[in-house]
Amino acid sequence: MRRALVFVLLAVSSLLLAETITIKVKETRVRSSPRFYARSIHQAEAGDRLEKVGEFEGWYEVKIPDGQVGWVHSSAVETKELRLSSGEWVETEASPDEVALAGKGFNEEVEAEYRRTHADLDYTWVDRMEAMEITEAEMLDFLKEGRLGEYGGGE
Amino acid sequence: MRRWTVFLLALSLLSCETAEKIAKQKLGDVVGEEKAESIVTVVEAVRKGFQDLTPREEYYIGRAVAANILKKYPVYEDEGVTRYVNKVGMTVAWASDVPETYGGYHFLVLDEKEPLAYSAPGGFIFISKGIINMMEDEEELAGVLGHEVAHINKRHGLGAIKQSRLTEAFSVLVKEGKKYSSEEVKKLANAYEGALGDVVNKLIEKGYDRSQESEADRFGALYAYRAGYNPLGLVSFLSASKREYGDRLEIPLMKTHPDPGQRFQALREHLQEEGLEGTTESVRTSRFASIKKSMR
Repeated sequence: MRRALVFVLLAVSSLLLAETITIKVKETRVRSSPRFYARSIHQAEAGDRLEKVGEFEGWYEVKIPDGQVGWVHSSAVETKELRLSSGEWVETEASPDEVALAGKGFNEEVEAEYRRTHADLDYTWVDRMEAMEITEAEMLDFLKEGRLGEYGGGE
Repeated sequence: MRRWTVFLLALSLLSCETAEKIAKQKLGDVVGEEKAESIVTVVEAVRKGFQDLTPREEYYIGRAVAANILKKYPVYEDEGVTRYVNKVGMTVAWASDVPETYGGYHFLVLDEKEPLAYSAPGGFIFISKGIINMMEDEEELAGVLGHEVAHINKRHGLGAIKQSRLTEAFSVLVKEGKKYSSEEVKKLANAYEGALGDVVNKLIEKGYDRSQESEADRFGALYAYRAGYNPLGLVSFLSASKREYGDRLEIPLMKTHPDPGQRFQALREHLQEEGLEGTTESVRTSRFASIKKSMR
């Protein structure tokens, strides 16, 4: 009887607990395949929660809001929460990264105060270097031409 | 009937008890039996060292360090060269241990004839026109950028922050949903200024420790190798630095990256031991040559 109860508990728990991931970077792309230069199907932002459905070599397969499935790199996410079937979120481990998602610590507000007292510092180029965008297609051409990554002798 | 009772019991156990148990157990590890007002407050209270800085905080420190570097050196404004350096840099960063940082990796060329290479926390990387001019091919560029990416992956810059600044910053307790008071912002800005002063001083004046340099060499060459480059690119660059500058510490690159002779030998031996070999594709060497030629 006890063994049966344990079995039922295990079976049900695997159905009820869907693993979710939380985006911890400012923004990232959910891609059509587990490659950085793969087509983007969704833009995700810090704090977004997505259901994880699979895993492959450092990439997580996730469900995006419209129901499609795509890939996000593990370095862009936190994986420390579980969702119950009731829709309730359970914090399994409160890591400092979760604080960042709540917007605490050194943040825009602190930067603004620092800049106010350092009028000699010019952030124009910091913003410009961040804004420079190189598309997936450009990167793919660059890798192919240079025989890099999967187009060459690399791993 | 009895079976259903067991099933329902199991369900209720899971939805209530398991959830509570997991949360309490994990939180309990941090705060003991005490009940915390909010998880955020608890986490804030247990933050201690630079390892506990969040990716977001690292990003804001990096932005300010980048602004300080750019106060010292002008930017080399050439879209073609900048895009090329970004492509090589992204290729290597994607093959690193942390391909995505809070704000991503960004590369900029400085209009400076002395050879320079700096990485600010979070992913801001700067190299000078002078260092590109010293290089022979794309493999060397990938090796140098890999070395800088490795400093960021290993959070070497943040390690320079004095503990007192962090203690001060972490003491500003925050509650969920509440904005900082102006006094709290000032206190944090003060700690922030001190923290990034420590990082700038380390990057530009003192340079990293030898052990951090050799770690960045090993991982930088590994990232270049994983990306498909010949990992000997970094070895050959270090060897050229040794030939060109020896141990002339008045050269900024030598001050912040000392002893290239010892480093290139150590790295060459390391790559041999690990069996990391690659080839230098001529198509990459020629595209590097045309970029270099285009530089004013």
